[in-house]
Amino acid sequence: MSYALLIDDDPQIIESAADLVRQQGLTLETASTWEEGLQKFHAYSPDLVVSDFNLPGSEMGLTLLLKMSRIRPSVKLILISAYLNEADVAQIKALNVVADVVRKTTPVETARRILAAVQLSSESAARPTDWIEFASAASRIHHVDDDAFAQLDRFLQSHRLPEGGARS
Amino acid sequence: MPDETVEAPTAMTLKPSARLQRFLGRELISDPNLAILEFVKNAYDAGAKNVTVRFSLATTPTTVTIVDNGTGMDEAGFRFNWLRPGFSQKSVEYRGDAPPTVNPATKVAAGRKPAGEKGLGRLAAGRLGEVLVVWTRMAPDAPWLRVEFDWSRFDDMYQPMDAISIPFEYQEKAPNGAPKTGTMIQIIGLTQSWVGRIPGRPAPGRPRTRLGRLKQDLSFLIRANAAKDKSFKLELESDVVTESSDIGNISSESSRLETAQYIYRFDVQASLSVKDQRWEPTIHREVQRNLDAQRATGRPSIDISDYIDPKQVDASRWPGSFSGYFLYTPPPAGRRAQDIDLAPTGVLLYRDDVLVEPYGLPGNDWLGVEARKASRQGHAAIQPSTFSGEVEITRLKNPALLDMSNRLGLLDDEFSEEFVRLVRREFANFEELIYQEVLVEGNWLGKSEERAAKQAGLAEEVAQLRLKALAHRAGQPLQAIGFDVVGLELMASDERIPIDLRARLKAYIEKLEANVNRLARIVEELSSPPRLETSEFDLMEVANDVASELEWLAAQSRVQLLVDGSAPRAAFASRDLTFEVLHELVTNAIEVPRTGDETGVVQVAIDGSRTEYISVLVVDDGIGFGPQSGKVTSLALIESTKGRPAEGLVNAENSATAMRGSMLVRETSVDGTTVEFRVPTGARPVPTS
Repeated sequence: MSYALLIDDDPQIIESAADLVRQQGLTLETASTWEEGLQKFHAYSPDLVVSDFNLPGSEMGLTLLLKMSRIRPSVKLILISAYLNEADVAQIKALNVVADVVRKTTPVETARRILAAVQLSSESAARPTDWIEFASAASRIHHVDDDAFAQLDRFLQSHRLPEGGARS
Repeated sequence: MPDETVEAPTAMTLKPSARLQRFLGRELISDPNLAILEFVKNAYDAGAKNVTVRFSLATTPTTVTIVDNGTGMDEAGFRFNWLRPGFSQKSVEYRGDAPPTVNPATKVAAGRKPAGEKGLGRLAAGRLGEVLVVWTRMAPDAPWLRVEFDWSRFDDMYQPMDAISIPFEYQEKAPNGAPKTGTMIQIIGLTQSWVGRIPGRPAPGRPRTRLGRLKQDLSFLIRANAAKDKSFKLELESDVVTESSDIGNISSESSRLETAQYIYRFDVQASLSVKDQRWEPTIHREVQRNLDAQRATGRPSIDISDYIDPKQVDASRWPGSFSGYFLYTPPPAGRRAQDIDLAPTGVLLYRDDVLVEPYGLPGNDWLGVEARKASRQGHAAIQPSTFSGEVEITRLKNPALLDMSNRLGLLDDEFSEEFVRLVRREFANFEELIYQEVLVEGNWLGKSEERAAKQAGLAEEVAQLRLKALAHRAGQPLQAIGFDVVGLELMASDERIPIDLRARLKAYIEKLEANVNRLARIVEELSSPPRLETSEFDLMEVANDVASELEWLAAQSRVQLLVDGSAPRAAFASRDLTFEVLHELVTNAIEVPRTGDETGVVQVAIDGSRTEYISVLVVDDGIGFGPQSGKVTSLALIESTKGRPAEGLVNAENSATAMRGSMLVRETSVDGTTVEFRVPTGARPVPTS
């Protein structure tokens, strides 16, 4: 059985996304922090992980995603964010760690893309393992430029919004 | 009868495969820039006075050539220095061959100490390109020794490393550009592109192009010409450049000492207490203030003090004496432009005049400046961008501080730990001084207008952060609605629902989606508000930034985008708002409908001849704003010719007014439109007509 995992701290997003995905007869596990996400990643071995960036627990930055990729290179990772700008997105994509970065600037389109990704991962999970793709995913992860990764990660973390927003 | 008993072997030996070289070269030296720096260090060690790093990128295969006029090598010297990575210079034999007649490693220029010691750096050439060719000779009348390393031969995991032959020969003539004596290294078939900009957001303090970064790294590399060895010259050349400043002479002369408000020098010495084998550190400190700092604080230009550290250092940890300086250079509002942005801001570590990577290079905060800033909870006197410096160690005085083989730091042990602790303590001391003199006293000493401006700046920062956070929060329910709209959309395709009802549902969903998207765009705008802070900046630079950001749109719209005016034009306004206004004007000029199929032209002309403002004319050859606006100069009255309200232009006009500038339509007709944007210089109010 195929699993997809959505990590987002907004309960309404979780509820609406889960409703939509389940309405299509698909499975979606959810988590509200990156720590919980990592636990569920180990527990369910999802084929697809969709994660928000600015979350409690994301102090560990993109490292979590890299960690997941290295545990299972074939896992498809999608990062969603309202806070990353286009330049950030281009840099994250260039690292070859995530399959896609979706900005929440067009919410309906974002929802469509995520639903399509869940559907696709469910279909591909039903097929026999594509070992060529599996091997090339492993090689992509192996070639991640660690320096560029660490530099970007530090930058993104230092520009991250404070938790809960600036209420002071 | 002789005793023929053979003793059983009791020891084993390592026999690395040829591929070990590939691993070492590729993975030990992770940054391609570091590989080039290694060769420049070697040239420096060889006593070179001129070193040129030359890229040939226009021809295939691409090459990089590192030419130096150092001592060069003979065959024995080459074998001795190049073919024995990791061996000590004191182990004289090369596999039984005689040691070199003249050991180049000992023939370094006066005052220079060898920068490379393990001979591992040159293995990194395999990371840069497929083939490495070395040309070298020690005398002008000697033939050239040519050695060729084809790194792909080392990929063989079935051969031991010393079974791979490295062909060499003697030739009378070396390729063009070779020095009379010395070494020329050619790396052929470069594995990475050295052309163009590094994609994405620029790293603070770093040039955006690959060659620019290399040039900056090279400028950090050697500090010899600061005082001792003025004859060392380093040059970067390339036949393809993205920005003209990427190449040229590399000067390590630092002007930062002249512009710094505070210079803090320290010299850490120690005497050994023989009785208990502990070192007693004494720190000589000098604080130098420039005129501004003297005036603001009422303190003298130099304060000198000697401090005896009550905490003695165990002999097993003492890293040796060292010295250095820190600079505090607050960027004046008017100098936030490129020269400040690109000024190195870390504290660089030098050993015998040569940089120890990566200390102080962008991204390396070995003194914990960021952490210190965080601990001040928003009241840090020293921001990483206002702080820089250098620390000098030597092999003679600090033999215990060793490089890691991958050149990425000092070996992590008690000595380096103690060394970093001592330097950090100096930083903390300096930070405390700046905190007291600049932040605490400075707040009270400044004029009331300055204090008010500072407060306004802080308030703006808080407001911006708050706005961003609110925008982020508003984006969450919008995304939830996004999922719900897709759910509705799928439901509206359910054939059990009557067809007319489905059609009506779909129509509603479309409207809902359009409005959600509009709202999301507004939220996005709120999340990136422009900074309103007024400063002096070069308008030409902003115009070029706008042009480079819109290059793709111009290309897509088949429009030629030209920026006129080359001399710097200092404006005094909000840089972000200026950028925003100009971006909108140029976007509009590119997108304006045109008649005919010819390539359109948009010209941005900057005229700085007026005292009170700089005039930026954005001229397009589109069909104008339509007949109603032939004489209209107020943008608020103009209707769009693109079927949408001219929202962007009206916003731009509002922004121009908010920054005390103005915007007007100079002329518009079916042949084109000229919009003038007047950016204040701060001298006098800008006329609005």
